[in-house]
Amino acid sequence: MWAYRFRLERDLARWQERGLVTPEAAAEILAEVRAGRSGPSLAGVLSTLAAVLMGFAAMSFVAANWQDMPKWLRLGVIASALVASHGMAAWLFQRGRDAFAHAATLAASSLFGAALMLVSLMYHADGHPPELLLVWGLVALVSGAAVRSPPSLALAMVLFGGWSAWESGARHGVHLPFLIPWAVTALAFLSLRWRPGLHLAAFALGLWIVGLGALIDDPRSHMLVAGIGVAITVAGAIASRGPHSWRTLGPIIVAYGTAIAFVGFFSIQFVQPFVAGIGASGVEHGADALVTRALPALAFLAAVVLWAMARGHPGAVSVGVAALSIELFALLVDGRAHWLVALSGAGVAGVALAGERRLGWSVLATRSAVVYGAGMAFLALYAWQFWQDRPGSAGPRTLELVILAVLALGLVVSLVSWATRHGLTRVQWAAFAAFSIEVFSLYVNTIGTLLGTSLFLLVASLIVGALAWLAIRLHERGRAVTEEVAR
Amino acid sequence: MITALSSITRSRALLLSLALQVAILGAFVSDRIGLLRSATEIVLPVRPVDPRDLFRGDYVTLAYDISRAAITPDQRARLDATQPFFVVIRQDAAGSWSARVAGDTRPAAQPGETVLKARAQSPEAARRGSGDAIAVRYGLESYFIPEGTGRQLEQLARDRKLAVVAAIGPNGDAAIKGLMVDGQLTWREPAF
Repeated sequence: MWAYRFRLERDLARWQERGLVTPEAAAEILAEVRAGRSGPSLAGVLSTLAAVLMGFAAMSFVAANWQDMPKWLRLGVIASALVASHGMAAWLFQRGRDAFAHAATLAASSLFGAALMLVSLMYHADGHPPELLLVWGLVALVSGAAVRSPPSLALAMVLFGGWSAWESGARHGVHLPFLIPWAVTALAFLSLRWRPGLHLAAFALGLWIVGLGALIDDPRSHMLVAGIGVAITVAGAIASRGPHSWRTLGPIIVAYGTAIAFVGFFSIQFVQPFVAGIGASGVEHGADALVTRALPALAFLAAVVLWAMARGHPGAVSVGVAALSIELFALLVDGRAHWLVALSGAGVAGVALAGERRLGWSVLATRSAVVYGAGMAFLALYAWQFWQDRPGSAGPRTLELVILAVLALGLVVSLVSWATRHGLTRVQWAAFAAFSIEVFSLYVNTIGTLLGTSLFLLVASLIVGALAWLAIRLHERGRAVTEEVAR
Repeated sequence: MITALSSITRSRALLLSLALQVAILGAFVSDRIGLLRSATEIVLPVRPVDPRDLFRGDYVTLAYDISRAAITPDQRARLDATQPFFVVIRQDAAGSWSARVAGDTRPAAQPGETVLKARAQSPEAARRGSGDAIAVRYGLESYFIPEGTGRQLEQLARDRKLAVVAAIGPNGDAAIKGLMVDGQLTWREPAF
């Protein structure tokens, strides 16, 4: 409502400018909107509250006497409640109170579930509970589709999800029948053009696909999940180039596909080897195995983010970036492939800088990406140098440590100069902190001998000092040139 | 966004929805009433159950001798435990009941035998297990009771004085028809 009025005011101003609407007409339209749609009246609110109170009173009365009522009376109460809720919905639709009417339709569909439970309770019928959920869902689906009431359809989708989860949990196997009611409900959402419903449908199907990884008794099941996710992503990317109605749907499909694929890739890297290692003969999964599993994931996520950046789909960018940062963090914590994290972090920063220069990416996005990428790279380099406490690893040798320390210090120094050039004080301070932590850790851990550390830090200080001198010279020369030109 | 419907069309749709809901509940109730009025009736002694499972809020969980049904390895391999299947129960001379899995087609009952429809308590366990019996449910396992009477029933079941009168439908469905304490019918479930 607020959004509508805001847009209307803006549009009216534009129409007035173009002479389409007279100022008097514009004022009248606005006055009409303000007066006519100021929400429910006081009488309406009070009568709704009174109805709710009366409903609760009736419910407590029924609950208090439920046990003592003969069955026919209980059945009568249940039937009257169903009739009343449907009648209420019809009455509200006739009065044009659509929002309340949809709520009443939802209440009627929900009440049917309660009725189903009460009746099976009355007859001690505890047969197969998931089937009750299915019947309830089907009823909500029929009501929602016939009345064209989205909330009831949403209830149906949730119930189908519950039914499927219960069934697949009980049999510990894939529950294919879910796809039928899912498809029908999704089609109903589509025909109503109800966006939240389509998201709900995508979410439900996504959960079902992700569930395949856990439910299929095969180490390749996670690959199946990742494969389906990639296929959905590609399909969404193709759809986004299609006719107009698909063009808006495509990027959303890409976002969901990416999320599904990432769950699959994540399980391939960090869940499945762990489970397999416990199950069979304790297979050793070394760094090579992890890298082989991580590279496809990194490549896929990088492709999604770059594609979404290039085409300007913020939703898909967010999902891709979120997945990428979870991936890098998991790799960092895992600790078997620090070089991959360092390289990826540097890659993120590099690509962001190139994107800003060549493709005109937004300044905020690129700067965040540079800081994130450099931060990840530094963390990986730091962990590589000083967190080698895994059993069976002796930590880096001296030469390796020197190279890593040079890389880490080089990274931090570049970050400081980049931040200084762009006037990013906080990034500067963070980089200084990283610099101090690196130097302090080198001092504590020592490179070979204490003398070796001292030598390394001396050389490092000379290099950084030389860089500073160079920077000052360049700055002065630049200023001299500008002044000359000015004169 | 949402295609507008006339309120008359919506009222008709709501009427349809109401009719469907009432029809489903009606079918459910008439099915149960038919079962309760069914002529076949058996008396099943209730087994003492682990009290932790027995008393759960306002209903009791009941277990019987026939809650474990004998199964051959061959049957186990062929059984789709996610679907209902048939179990044959028979009473020996001493009065105790035994059950065996018959498969997914209804067998002809021999004299002294009754055929019941059952579900595996855990399809997963039924599929992977290796013993000569599986845990099954007949829809006779929950009994909803007035508030606060659970402990009494629990005690009766532990003393093995409690028995359930079960009505058996022609297709093997079962429903609790009444409760017996010390061989006396103390509660008969009314159909209405």
